[in-house]
Amino acid sequence: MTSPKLLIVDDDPGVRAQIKWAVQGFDIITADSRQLAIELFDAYQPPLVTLDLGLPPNEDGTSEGYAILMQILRQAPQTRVLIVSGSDSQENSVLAKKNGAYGFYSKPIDVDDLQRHIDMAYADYIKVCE
Amino acid sequence: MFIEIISFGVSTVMFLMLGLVMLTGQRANLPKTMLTVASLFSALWSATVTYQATYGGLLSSTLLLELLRALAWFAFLLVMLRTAYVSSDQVNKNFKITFLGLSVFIVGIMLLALYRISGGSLLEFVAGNDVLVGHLLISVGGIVIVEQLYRNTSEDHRRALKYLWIGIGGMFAYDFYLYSDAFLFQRIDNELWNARGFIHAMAVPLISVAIKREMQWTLGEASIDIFMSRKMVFHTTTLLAAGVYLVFIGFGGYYVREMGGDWGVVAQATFSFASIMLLAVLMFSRKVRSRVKVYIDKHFFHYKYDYREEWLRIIRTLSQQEGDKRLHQRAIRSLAQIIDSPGGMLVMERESGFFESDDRWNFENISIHEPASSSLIRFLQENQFVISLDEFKNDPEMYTRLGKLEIPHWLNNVKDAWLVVPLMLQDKLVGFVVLLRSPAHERYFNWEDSDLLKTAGRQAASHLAQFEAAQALVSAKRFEEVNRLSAFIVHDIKNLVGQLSMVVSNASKHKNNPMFIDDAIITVENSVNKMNKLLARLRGSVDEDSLGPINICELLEDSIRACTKAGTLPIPVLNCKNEGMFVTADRDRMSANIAHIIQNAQDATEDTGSITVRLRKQADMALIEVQDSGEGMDEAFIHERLFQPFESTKGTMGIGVFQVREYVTKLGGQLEVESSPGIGSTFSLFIPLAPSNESMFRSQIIHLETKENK
Repeated sequence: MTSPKLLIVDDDPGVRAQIKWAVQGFDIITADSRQLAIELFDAYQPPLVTLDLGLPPNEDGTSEGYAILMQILRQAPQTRVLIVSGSDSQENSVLAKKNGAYGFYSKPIDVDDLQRHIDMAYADYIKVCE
Repeated sequence: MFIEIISFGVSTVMFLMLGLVMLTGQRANLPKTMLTVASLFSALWSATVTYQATYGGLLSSTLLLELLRALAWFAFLLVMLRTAYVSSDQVNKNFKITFLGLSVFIVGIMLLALYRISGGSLLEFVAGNDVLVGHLLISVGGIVIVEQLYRNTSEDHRRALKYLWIGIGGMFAYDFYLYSDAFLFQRIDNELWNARGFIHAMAVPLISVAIKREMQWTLGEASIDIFMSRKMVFHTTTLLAAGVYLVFIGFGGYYVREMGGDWGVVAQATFSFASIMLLAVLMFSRKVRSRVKVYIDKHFFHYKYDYREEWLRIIRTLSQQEGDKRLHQRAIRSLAQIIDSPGGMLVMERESGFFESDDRWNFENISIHEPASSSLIRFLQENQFVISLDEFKNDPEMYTRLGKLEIPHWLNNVKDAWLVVPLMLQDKLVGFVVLLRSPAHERYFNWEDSDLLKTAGRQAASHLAQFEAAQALVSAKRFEEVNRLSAFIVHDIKNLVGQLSMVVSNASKHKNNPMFIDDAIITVENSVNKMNKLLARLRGSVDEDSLGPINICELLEDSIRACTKAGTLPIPVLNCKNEGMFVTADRDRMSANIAHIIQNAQDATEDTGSITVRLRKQADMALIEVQDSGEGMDEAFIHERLFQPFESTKGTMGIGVFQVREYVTKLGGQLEVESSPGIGSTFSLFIPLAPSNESMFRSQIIHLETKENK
């Protein structure tokens, strides 16, 4: 059987490249902008998305990330979106969950830790869908 | 009789001469006419007294003439006094009322005198109590008016006019003495009366000196305001003195009357001796003497300084930038100038709590380390008092009375140290200035110097405090900047470390996979790029900008491209009216600043809105206008928040409008904002054009280069 799809949205090519190798058991697709992220999501309908909030043109803000989150959840509310953010403020974490994100993961990324988060998110997805 | 004839004869001749001289003068005007009239009345009165002394009789006309004479002098004084009132109708009215009142008063006394006329000698008659009181009041009134005139005479004219006031005042003062004595003993003293002619005659030379020295006052009302100071103030010192004297006399009189008989002479002698003793005690008490001196200085002499001038000079010295002279040195000079001091040293309180030498002006190079607990500092703090070292040496008690004071060694060792001026900020001593003695002329140091120095010291202290606050603000800003920068750095490094540690983690599983190696290299390469960017950013904040002529139109094109790269809407429309315009700036920073303004406009505008970027020339400036049809800002936001550093509605740490304005101002330009809520905003950046020949030259080179490249 084919592995489930995981969409990684991050404007940092280094992060994209490494998450790809860090996470196992998924078929990984990556996007570096809102436009591309939405296109890929439409095309593959991945059950899991890791999302960086700060994307161009607003790298320092969160507007692009939340725009993607809204759009994905509108199309497929069951999608598990894990916010992977450089900011580690409690406030952002609460805000992300209020907006429907499944989880909030603060950078820097620990490979094993991230794998665990993703596995848990996927398990949750399976449980809910069944 | 003989003495009386001579005395009043002299008076007659003197006043007649004065009157005649005045009559022969060229121009006639009111003050001059009044003086002439008064002189002639004086002459006439003296003549009748002389006549009466010689032949007897004439009593009533003598008495009437004395009163008329007084009225004439009043008229003259009031005309002079009115000159100070010229400017307002109200006081003109007051003048008329005063004059009318005095006339009625004097005429009343005349009628009273006429009514009481009966036989007997003049002296007996005049001694009638009510007439005496009238005379007494007239003389007091005369002295009071003379005081007003004297003290309101401006400094320039006082030199000459003081003789006039002394002359006339002297006459009234003697009359006062004469009549108060008469009032006390209920008879006019023969000797005093006989001397009166001489005394009055003595006024004539004084008046003549005044006329000779200062013809101006005779020139009439046109020049009147020259010699009277603008602000008339009613002074009451002589009134007070006269009152005190009369009370004194009254007590004496009461005592003499009560004791009567044999005691009369004894009492009078005791009374006189007691007064002399009292006077002597007062004279010999330094404290009383100095108090009296200060009182007299304050009330009877014009100020040593023209305060307006002094103040302007102090402010000028403090606020003018002269070369690279520090404010601190100018502060010393502003104080030194006041008392012609040739040099001084500024001592300021340091954070350590010690007072240390800060700056000096023509002052020997000594360093001071005075603890805040020293008696000098405490004295200055508590008394806020200018210390004169001379005074302290001569009379230490004057100071130690106020509190413990020991002059520190270093100060005693300073050659020619003269004054210590405290610098007070609110009620806290922030420093002091030591001033040197002026070698050229010994200056008498009094309350007035002290007051002015103290106040100037306050002014200097607030300037110094402002300067230091500004300095502190600059360093706080720098600190803030560093803080912000390190926040960026931490954030970036955290990301880099995160990526690289992921590479390491992943490598343990995938290191044999060539595709992983490719991705690892991509990651490392990406990290290297980021680190280079970080370095560039760090360097940029440290290095000077690389200035060069920039073609603005091209720059605007680039900035717009950068802002629309990510598909952000709306896309700004560029309108360059003038393509060959150059400004001198750092290209990257300039571009970043313009991009920031454009991004702001994009953020504020709906995707369907419009943004126009216009460039045109205005005078010698390039004017870049970024106009959007966005939500706009209200006035309060523009004033209070838009230009605040570190203020952002987006919660980001990007460059703010504050920094754009800072940069544009640094280039010698200006940033203006116009906005109305719901309609949109226009940001106008004025940037000075590069010198035209240079830009021409450069553009030619570019032109040539492009040709060669082709």
